[in-house]
Amino acid sequence: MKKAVIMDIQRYSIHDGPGIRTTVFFKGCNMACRWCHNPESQRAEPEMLFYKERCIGCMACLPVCERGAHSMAGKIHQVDLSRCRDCKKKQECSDACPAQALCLCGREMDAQQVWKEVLADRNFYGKEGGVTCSGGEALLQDEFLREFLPLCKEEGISTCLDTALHVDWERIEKLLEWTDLFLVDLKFMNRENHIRYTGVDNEKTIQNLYRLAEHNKPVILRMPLLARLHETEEEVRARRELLKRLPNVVRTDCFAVSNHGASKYEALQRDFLPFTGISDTQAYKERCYDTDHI
Amino acid sequence: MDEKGWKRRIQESVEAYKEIFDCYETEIPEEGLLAGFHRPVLRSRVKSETIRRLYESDNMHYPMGDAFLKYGIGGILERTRERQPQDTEETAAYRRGVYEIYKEVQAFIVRHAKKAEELAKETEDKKERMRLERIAKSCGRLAADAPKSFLEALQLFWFFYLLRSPFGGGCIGRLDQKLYPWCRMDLEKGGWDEEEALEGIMQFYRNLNRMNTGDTLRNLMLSGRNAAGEDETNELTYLFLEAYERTQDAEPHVNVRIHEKTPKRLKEMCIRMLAQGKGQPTLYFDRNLIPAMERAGIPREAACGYANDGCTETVYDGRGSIDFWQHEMVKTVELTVFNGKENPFIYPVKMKKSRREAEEFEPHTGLALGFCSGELSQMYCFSDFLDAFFAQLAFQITHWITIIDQKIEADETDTLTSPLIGGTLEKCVKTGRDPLRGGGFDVDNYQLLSGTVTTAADCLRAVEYGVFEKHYCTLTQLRDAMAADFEGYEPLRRRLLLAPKYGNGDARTDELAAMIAERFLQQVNAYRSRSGKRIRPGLYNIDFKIFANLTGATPDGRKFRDAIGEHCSPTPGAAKRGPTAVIESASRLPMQEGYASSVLQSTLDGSSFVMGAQRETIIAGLWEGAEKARIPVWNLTMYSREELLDAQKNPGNHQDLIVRVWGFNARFVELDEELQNHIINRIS
Repeated sequence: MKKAVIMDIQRYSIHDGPGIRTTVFFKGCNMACRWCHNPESQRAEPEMLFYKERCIGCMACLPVCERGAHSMAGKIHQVDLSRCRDCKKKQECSDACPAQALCLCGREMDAQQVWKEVLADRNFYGKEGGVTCSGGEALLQDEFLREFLPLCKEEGISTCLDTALHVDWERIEKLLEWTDLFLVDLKFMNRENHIRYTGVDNEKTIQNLYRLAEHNKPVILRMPLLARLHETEEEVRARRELLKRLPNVVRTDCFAVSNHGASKYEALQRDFLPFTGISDTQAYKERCYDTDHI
Repeated sequence: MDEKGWKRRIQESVEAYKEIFDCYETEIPEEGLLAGFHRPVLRSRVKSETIRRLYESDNMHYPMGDAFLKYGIGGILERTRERQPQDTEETAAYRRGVYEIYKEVQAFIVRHAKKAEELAKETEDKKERMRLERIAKSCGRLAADAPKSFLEALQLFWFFYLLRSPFGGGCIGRLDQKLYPWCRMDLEKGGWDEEEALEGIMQFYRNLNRMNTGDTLRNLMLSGRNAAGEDETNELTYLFLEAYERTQDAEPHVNVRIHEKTPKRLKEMCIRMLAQGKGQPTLYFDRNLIPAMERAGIPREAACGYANDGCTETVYDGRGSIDFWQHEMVKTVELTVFNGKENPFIYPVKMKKSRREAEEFEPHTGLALGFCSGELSQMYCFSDFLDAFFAQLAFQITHWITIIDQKIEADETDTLTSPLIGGTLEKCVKTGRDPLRGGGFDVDNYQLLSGTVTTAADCLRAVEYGVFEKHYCTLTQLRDAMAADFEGYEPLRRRLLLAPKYGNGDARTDELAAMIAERFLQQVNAYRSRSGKRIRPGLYNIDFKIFANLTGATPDGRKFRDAIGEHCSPTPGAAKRGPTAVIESASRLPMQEGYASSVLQSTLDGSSFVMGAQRETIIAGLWEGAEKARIPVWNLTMYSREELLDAQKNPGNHQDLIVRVWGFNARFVELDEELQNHIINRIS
């Protein structure tokens, strides 16, 4: 049975598709959005986080560590996470910490294990709710999904993929019959901006969106939005054009990029760049749908 | 029974009511048709002896009967005026007591009729005169006869509600059922005016809110299924809900009974109201309650007539009163750890029960100290500890049962029920018997309640996990840490806080909670009084805040005075996996068997309904899940943490913020800070 690295399984998710859902967060992403709210989802392998403000200075972690990752700066406990990267004792180290200051993110699970957790909320899904596979980029673990999604569908549980579609169409195509709804993140229509802010171009995303339309697969389009950069007439016009060609888009959610992930960057010992999100998401949505401009 | 003493007590009761009734104002409203209103009577205006007599004979926690609606005041006077051939000295005296009090009731209604008449004469405005004359006429008729229309029935009920309590509180019961015959009468006569009826109900609600709000016992129960399994929803059910939707205040506390045949429209209306986030209505699932009542020997007819008392405890409307006691489950863990003694760290605390304005008091445990359930140093595995806990629990339940047994015996021999209440029961009016002894309280309802099995389970699981699985400490080290309120034991406390907790769907913790609940239920259910009466168990607590203030540090990492979970809900802050996991945990508890009162309270973050999250779809999903999880009583509220925090800082801006407390809703800004914090920490 295929295994996937799962970051978290979140019950009672109400923002990842309709109704009450269980969201399975897959670890690993092939994009690196600079505003990413979940930076711990980007690397594929399990990794350590250190929340220094939670540390109570008990030093219970010291006897576990064989890498010399810990040091004291005066009375402040410091951890060099770069030394933890390929350490085999990450779990032990995380278990030793009573304050959840050291946390291991990501664990390997097979489809049956994930499935069992999804079943726990079965009675709450109703007709509209169900399971959402998110990430990271869930589609990078398509072989796992090929086992997992049919389990859901066979039990009559609605399925949803939360993705940026930045993969080859073949990886999506084989999951089509097992997926009821796609939540697609649209970062930039402007190719240069897309590359600058996510590390990759947007060609696959856009082509795959058209293909989903050809297959008449329902899509909820999600637009994380920055002030100014997303507000240019050129960007909005391109979105308007795109939406015109996507009759399968059942809803568009516009939301402002926020700095919620700041503490996670710090816990990962990565640099954090603050961004300013757009202020009026409703107005933006109206601009995208404003046919008078076309 | 001592006949002389009995007659004297009845006479004292009559005098007490006279004294109280004299304090009531005679108010004819400036608009609307519902006459009568009094502000809570000042305690300084009445003898404390009078208040004591009143409450001793009526705790106001159950609905009144409806004989006054059926017979009218005149009918009751007629049936109680004369001694009847079959009367004994006891019944004759009680009958006379009813008569004398109902003469006062009549005088009270006449006062309103007269005042309205006088006001009508004084006014120049024609329309206003007509309104006042209508009130005068209606009150005049009600002073003697049974009501002839819905509005008259509501008026008479309101008069009785006013008369019952000097402080404005009291259980309401199944009013949509009780008043329905008059609604139907109006419909059949073609005299039904829906707008006017709605206005009357809204005036009733507004009066309640004008009196006072909070722990007022004002529970209104709507709909339900009857003994034949048929739906009892009627036009009034919708009107009572619509009136609440329009008034949107703290009172009354609205409850709806849901069953297989509940109309879609009623469900949709409930969802719409729940989406407002005020915790109204509380849902009672008949199929998760009535069967357990029947298993406990309650006749189907009575079981299908259940309502709820001042909080969530079930009462048998028109067929019984209620008395309840509360066991302290988490404190029982403390007594286990300290082998029958209290945690030496605790000290007397001054606290308020719920209201900011209330007076402070010093709570004390109701448990019996001194029972040695075992020395920790002699316990070598978790089951040793568990056995000691169950031994301590069994001892404490026996202690409660002894107390309740004495009350049952007293009720069977000489407790006096308020003759005002007696007169509302047909059986009493006919026989002259005290309701407790053949005069209408056919279903005995002595309840022993213990919620907080959830926090108790967290404690047991922390012992198992921390001491015997992870070996963070020994049992005696744990006791030392608890005795120090974890001062100097912070790393250990953090580890204990991370031990699995109820409310996250963790099978073992939930299993322990279920085991505690089952032991409790079994022992309570095994009891029979000499006459064969039972004690009715519930997994519920009103006094969780009191318990928190008299229970020292516990093995789950909780410190002295930290919150304890209420009812079947998780310890505040312990549920980390959202409301569905809480319901999953609750589904493992034998909640249905705690038919006296087993409620699950779900609290959502009201600010989370953004980004396409559909409030009503989500509520419907939670509802379906809760019902399938066999939850008997479910309350759903939604608050935004930020809003509550802001309300603490700027109460003036949040006067209309209604929150769920224990069995009632209240204005958040009127609650004391400790309770406010408890409510904030419920949001999962």
